[in-house]
Amino acid sequence: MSKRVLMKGNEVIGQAAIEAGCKLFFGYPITPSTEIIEYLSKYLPKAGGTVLQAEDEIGAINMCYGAACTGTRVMTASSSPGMSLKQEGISYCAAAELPVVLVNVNRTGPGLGGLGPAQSDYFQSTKGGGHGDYRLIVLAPSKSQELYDMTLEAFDLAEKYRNPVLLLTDGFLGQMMEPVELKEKPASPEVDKSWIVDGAKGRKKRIIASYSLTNEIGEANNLRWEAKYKDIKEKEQRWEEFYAEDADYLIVSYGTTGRISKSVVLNARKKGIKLGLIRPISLWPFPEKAFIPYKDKVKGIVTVELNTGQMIEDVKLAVECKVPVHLYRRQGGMLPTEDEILANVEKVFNLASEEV
Amino acid sequence: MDKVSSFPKTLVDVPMHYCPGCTHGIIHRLVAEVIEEMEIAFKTVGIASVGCSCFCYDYFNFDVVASAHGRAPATATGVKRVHPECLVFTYQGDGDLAAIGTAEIIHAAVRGEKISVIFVNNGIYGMTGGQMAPTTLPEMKATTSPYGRSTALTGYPIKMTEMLALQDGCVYAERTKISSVATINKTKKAIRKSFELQIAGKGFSVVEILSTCPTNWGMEPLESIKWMEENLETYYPVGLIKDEKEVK
Amino acid sequence: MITVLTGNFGSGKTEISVNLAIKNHSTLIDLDIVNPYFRSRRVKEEMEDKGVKVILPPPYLANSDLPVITPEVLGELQNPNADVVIDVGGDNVGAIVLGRFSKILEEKNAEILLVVNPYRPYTQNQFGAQQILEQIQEAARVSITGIISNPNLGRVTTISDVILGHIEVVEIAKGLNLPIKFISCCNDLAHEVVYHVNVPVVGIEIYMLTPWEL
Repeated sequence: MSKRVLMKGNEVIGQAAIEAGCKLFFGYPITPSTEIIEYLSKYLPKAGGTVLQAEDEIGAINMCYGAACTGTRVMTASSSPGMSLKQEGISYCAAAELPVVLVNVNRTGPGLGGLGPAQSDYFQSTKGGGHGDYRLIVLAPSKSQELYDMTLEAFDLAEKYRNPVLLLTDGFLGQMMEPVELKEKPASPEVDKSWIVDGAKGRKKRIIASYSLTNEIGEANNLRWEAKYKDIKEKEQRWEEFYAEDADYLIVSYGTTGRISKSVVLNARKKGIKLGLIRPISLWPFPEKAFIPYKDKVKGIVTVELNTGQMIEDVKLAVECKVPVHLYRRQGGMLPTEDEILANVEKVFNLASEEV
Repeated sequence: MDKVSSFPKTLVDVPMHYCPGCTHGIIHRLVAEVIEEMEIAFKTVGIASVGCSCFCYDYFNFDVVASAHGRAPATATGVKRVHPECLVFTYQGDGDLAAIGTAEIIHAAVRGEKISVIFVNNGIYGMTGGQMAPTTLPEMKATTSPYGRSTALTGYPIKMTEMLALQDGCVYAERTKISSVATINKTKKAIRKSFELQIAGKGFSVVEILSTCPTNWGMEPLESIKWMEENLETYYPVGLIKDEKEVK
Repeated sequence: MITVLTGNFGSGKTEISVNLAIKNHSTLIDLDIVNPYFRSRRVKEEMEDKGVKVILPPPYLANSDLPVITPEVLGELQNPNADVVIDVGGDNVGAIVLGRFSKILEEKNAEILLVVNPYRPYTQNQFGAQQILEQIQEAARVSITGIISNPNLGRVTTISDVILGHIEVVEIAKGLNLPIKFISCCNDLAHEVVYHVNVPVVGIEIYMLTPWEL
């Protein structure tokens, strides 16, 4: 049964987790992510699951670690300062190759920051975050339907690659109300569960650990993970293109600002400016492939971000610095308007004269 | 003639890495024997912590998950909430449980998490080479308290098991020691009681075991047992701290 | 007249509160201590320009999630000529704050209204609405006196969404044995909705806009 309902972004994530067969949720309240744990506290027990409010984020992620060791679908959600606390555990989950689904409803920082929307955790999310050389699969939805669809998919991806998957959203997407089609989840692909621990009944014992004091074994582990990350990089790059094909200039933006940027493109086209949009959906792996047709063609790129300039580094690498890449950003919980983004695009590329 | 003793199937028959005189080997064997005698190896998940015992997963012959430093009770919670029928125990030293893992262990007890905690206390960090632990005695020397632990600077040894026993979710807490055949037998009984309570669906329980560290204490094995009984034990008296009957 | 709007998260309380206050030049009290986004305080200046007195926590807390209630709230409720609309936070979580005012609300015969949007999950039927109603009544220590029918799917709502949704709300209200005080819908649909329903229609202007709508 598929039905259309009006839901708040954070509720959508909770509902999708239930639909995906998530049986355990461990978390700790923090604005603006709290509705996720509140929603699941109400409705996950009715679906045969358990929600446990931990003593802190460290406890919560390590409970996820334990539950994931049994091969059960498990999730945690938090907001920026809480995600910092979880990083140790996330590194352990990556090393033990555990399929945990993480949600970060990005608020502002550094420090306690504020409650407004931000993209200031881009580096933390895509470049490791915790210690050691690992990667998370990072998905960045920009509307409620994507929150639903990507939460469903996150559980499958996590199991497929035995890797933590992070859904990176922001306070604005979390709080916004939009109609969502609650699609039934298609059956998940069969995955190998020959690694889980649940008591060694009729089989040899299993160990889940990440400690290695033999450097040769340590390197072999790193190479194995590297090969996995390479495989993910090859197969899981996702992005959306909007009026990009004939564009002279591109905006690159994800999440909330990716959505605002769509209107900017339409406004620019009305003015005769050939502006297009590439909206990264997977932030790691970063959709480098999206830029292949454009890096020798477009005259310039502006990244629109809610931080001091983080994704811009990946964009510059993706176009091999063949194209001038500029940044337009707002910070501290502020969102840019369509007009100010377009004005900035016109300014940096000197387009005012091209207006028709 | 009847066989009265044999090597437990719940232990892997390999030499352990522990120093001569260290009691981890004995405690591993006690845990393994109890699990074998209770015939529950097929539904046991041990949680290893970080410290000298971190490689216990190589010695135990059942499923083991290795946890981050101090987080074993949280990891155990995750496993136990999925598999309430399993025996889930943590094996933690005093650095792991009483310093970095204080929040996790207290809140596992507060929740009455149905897990067993084997807490090995020798008053020092073994793995990293003899640093001061929260359980280090006043005036006791360690590499980070080279002039002896100053209570003015670092406070007093922490009494974790007493603290855990205060929580309503804790159904059983006992402190034992490894110093003789008699105390080894007592320790085994305490471990068995803790595991039985868990299988019976009761709450959180902890067995604290006073242990030695000849290497980092700089003593002969026998000397260190004597030192443990004359010093560690005076601060941490062995005996029952909270009995099941006290639980309402 | 004191009117209190309760309901589950996202049922539309804030939009309706803001519109009612502007329409009747009432005082608006923002008791939404739950959600720092999309609160009536976002449009404070606009409301004040339109003659609405707005009671909010101090400005430096405007974007916080601190559950701060100012002393002005009780003062306003004690006013014998009080003409007040109270916007409460969502669900029982948000309604708890009403408990602190339950006595005076009863004394003043306040209308405690439950906003029902049948397109929200869990108020799609009488069972769900009953649960929300009971949870809110328990948390707020007041009795709900009526229903506001608010069938919508956000910005993309069509006339048939409103009419079909309202039929559901009529059923729900019947089951709860509560009167429907009015139906609310977007101004541009209101003129047509009046021909299809037999309760008063309140047209709504949308104030809580997203950045791509500003």
